[in-house]
Amino acid sequence: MTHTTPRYEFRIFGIETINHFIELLEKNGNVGKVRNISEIYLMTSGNNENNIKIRNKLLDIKTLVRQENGLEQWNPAEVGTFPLAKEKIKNEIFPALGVECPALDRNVYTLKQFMIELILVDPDIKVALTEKERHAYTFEDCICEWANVQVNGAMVRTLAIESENPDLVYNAIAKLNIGENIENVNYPKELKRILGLKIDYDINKFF
Amino acid sequence: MAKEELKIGEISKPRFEFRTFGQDFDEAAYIMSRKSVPVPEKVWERESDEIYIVSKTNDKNNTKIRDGKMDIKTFVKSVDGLEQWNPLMKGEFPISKEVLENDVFPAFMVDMPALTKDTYTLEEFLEMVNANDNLQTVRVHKERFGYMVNDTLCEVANVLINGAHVVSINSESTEIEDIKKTMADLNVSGVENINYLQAIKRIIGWNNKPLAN
Repeated sequence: MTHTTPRYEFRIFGIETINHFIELLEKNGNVGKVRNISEIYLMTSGNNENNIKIRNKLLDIKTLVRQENGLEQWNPAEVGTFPLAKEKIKNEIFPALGVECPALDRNVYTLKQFMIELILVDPDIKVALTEKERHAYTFEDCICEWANVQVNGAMVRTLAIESENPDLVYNAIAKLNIGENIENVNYPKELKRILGLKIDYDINKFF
Repeated sequence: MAKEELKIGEISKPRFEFRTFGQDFDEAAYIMSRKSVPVPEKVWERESDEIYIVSKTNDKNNTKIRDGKMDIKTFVKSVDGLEQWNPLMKGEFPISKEVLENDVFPAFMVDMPALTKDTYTLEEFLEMVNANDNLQTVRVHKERFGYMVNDTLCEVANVLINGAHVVSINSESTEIEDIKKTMADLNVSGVENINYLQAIKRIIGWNNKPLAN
C-alpha cells in the first residue's frame, strides 16, 4: 500500500440547499480543473470507517482516522490495480467491507470477475456506480471542490473543504457562511442514505 | 367502441402507462407543456412526501404510503411495452393485524413476521418492514407538473429518491394508441418504460441497470 498524509475534511451534500455555498466558492476561490470521473463504491451496512472505491481499475480504501470537532481525517491507501491476487481480496478488501469473504476459486481476479463473482452476488454488499463532475478550487489555503455526483443515475451535489491543518478548514467553512448546524457528511454516509443502508429520516411528514 | 374521455381526477377503467426516469427530459417536458390542453389548476403543480416499500422477492406489487395512507397497486399486464396497474388495496394507519396478514405482507411476498398486536401504527409497521432483509423503505419526494396531451394524462416530475434527484415523465391513458402518439410527439418512443419500483431498485443498488439517461 502507498500512503499520503491524511487531510482533515469537511463535506456536505444537497441539491439546491448547498448552491449558495457553491456560489461563494466560485466567486472567491481560485478555479482549478474540472474532471469527470467514474467510480464504483462498495457499500455494506456495518462499515462506517472504510471508504472503498474503484477508479480506473484501481481499488483504494480510505480509512477514517479520527473525528475531531466536526472534521474528519481519512487515511487514503491504494490496495492495488486489477487484476488483483486473491490474498489481497481476502486479507484487505473483505475485512474492510466487514463481511465474510466467500471461497475464492481463482488465484487472480480481473475487475469484471471480482464484481460479477464476488460482489454483485453478495446480498450484504451494495454497489454505488458514481459519475462525478468535479470542480476544483483553492480557497483560503484549502483544497476545495464542488461536484455534481450521479449515484446509480440519481443526482446529488457536494462541496468539500480539505487541508492538513484543521484551523484552515474551520476558517474556510466560516468564510463560506456554512453554519455550525450543517452536518459534515462523508461519501460513505451519503451513499448509505441514498442506498437505504442507513434509515434516518423524520417520519412525521408522512402522516 | 368509442374511447372513454379521460378527465383528470376522475376514476376511469384501468389505464396503461408509459413512465421513465433519468436526468434530462428537458425537450420532452417543453413539448409536453406546449402541446397540453389547459388542465385544472389543482394539477398544475403538486408536491408530496411518500414512502415506497420495495421487496426483493417481487416486482408485481407497488406499495406506497402518503398522508398516513397505504396504497398497493398490482401489475396486471404489459401491452406493447406499456404497463397496466390496478389498485390492490388501500389502508390507513393505525392498520389492523388482519389487513397486514391478509393483504399487505402477502403483497410483499415475504415471510409473515410475528404479529403480536391488534393494530400497528405507521412507525411500528415501518420498523417491521426495515427489520426484514427482503424489504426496504425508500423516501420519495415528488414535485409534479400535470398536463394533458393527446387525451393522455401526462406529468413531468422532479423526484428525490432518498434525497437524490431524478426526473420522471409519464403518459397514461386507457387508450394505448394515444400514449404511443404522445411518446412519438415527445421524441421518447425508443426510451425504456421504467416504473417507480424499477427506478427505485436501480437507484438503491438492487438492480444494476441504468436509468434512461
